[in-house]
Amino acid sequence: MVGDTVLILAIETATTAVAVALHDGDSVVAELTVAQGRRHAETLVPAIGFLCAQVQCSVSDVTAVAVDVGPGLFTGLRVGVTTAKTVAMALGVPLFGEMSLSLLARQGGRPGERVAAVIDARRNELYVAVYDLDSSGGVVEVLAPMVAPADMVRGALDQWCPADTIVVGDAVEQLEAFAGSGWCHLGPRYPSAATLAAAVLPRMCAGANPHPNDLELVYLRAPDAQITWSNRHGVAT
Amino acid sequence: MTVVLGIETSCDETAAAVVLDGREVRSSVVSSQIDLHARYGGVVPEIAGRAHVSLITPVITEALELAGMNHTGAGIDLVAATIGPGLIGSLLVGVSAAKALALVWGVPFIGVNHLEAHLLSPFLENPDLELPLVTLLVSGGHTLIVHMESATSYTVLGSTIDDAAGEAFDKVARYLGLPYPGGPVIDALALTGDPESIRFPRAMRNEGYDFSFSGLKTSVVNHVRKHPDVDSADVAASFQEAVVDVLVEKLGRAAIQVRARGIAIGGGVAANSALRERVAALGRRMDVPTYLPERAMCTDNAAMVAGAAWWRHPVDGDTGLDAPAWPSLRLRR
Ligand SMILES: [Zn+2]
Repeated sequence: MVGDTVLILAIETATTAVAVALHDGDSVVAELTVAQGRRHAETLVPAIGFLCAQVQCSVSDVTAVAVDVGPGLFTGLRVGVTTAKTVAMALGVPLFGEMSLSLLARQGGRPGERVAAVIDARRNELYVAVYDLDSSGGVVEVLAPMVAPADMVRGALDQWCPADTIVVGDAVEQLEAFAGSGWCHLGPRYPSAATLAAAVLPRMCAGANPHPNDLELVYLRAPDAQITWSNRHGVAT
Repeated sequence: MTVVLGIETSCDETAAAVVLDGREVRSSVVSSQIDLHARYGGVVPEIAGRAHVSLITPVITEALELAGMNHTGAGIDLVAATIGPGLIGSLLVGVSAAKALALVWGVPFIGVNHLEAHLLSPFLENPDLELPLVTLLVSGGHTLIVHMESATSYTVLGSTIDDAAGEAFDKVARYLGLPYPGGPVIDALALTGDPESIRFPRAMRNEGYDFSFSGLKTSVVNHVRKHPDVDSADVAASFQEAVVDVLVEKLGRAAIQVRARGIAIGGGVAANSALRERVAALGRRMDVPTYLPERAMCTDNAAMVAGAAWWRHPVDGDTGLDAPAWPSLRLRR
């Protein structure tokens, strides 16, 4: 890789944690995670400044921005995605998005393994997806990301996941009824910014140049008012 | 010369503007979400938050380009954004964008009180206006009478104890089956009605400077229930007359008490034509200059945020990049 001309800034705010990483094309050169407090708006921008200072670079040296597009905590995602879009816009560099659930799967599994990722969606619901990890560390979707009540998620995992499936994410406790099923609850709780940077690197090296205005956040859930309105008027959301 | 980029996302307008020295508006872009919220009869916070995220970078880019600038921020000295009051999910978008720009461009970030931005908006169009000034700030979220000794020193004389004036317009419009937003619709409908036809109450008209509009809304509902055949235009005109009566009475009394050398109005309801006419007449009667902002400057915009930042920065200094948004921020009393 062209070490000295690449600097990816990765921004991760899809859960209660806030994480930032810098990747120079060869490896992660700095990473910072604050896993407590839900203070995304207060923590994120100072964290970016701090991280750049630690590796003696300026934010203006960044050549691409990566951001977790969700699903996850709406407030956190809005802070992270807005910050990522604005930094990329101001620097005139591409902005790459990656889903929270697939990042967790990359972190939690090894090549050849099946991984289920679950993130707390509040209101007794979970965001869930199941992936197979390929030989190069990439992910292949087995069950597409969706939001569902915990008991439905358990049913889906029963169907898609053999006994040795690794379960990752901050909602593993909500599947505790399955503790006896032989699943390995050993994955990471939060998506990591370092994984995010590494995940988008191949796309960047392949010359992709996505514009920051085009990046869309993944909510997987319509606003309540829209659901109520659609139900009353008999149309799909 | 100080050039400020202002950002406003406290409610349902995504806005950015470039302003020189608090008075020369180089660009002002406002992307309204009214269409997204109309079918719900009011602003839906979650829908507003989502729209802001999609609109924020295109709106900032357009404001920079219209000002003859670009994404590098060359020529921008300060970046300001509304930090409150407002919807938390909306405020965070503007605050996050402004902090990111401040970091990348290496300039200070200024968090602006949305109400101060409205209060200082007359200075944008009339930088030499005479003080002291009494300003009536009326919108969907606020109803305030403020005595301004200078651009940076003011006293709140009174505020609403229940509904804001604009909220009363929206609620009455909804009751009459009129579309959202209610303010402009009632304004237009009232033109064809008789404002004297129904005598609605004027709560607290002659006491102090506080307001109450929830009783007025209730008597409109009661009147229409009792007289189902009443002409909606007469109801709209009589209701509007009652609101404007109270607002103008208190504005006039406050202006006399503080010996104001000018009166001004601001906020979304300041676009109401009956209110503008009556405030202009009040100014003539009192023989003081009257500042009626352009209609585009009454509703939420980012030029007023950039303008307010220019006034406040020498007094308040920079805002930390670790500052939170304040959904229930108030004016300093
Ligand atoms: Zn406003």
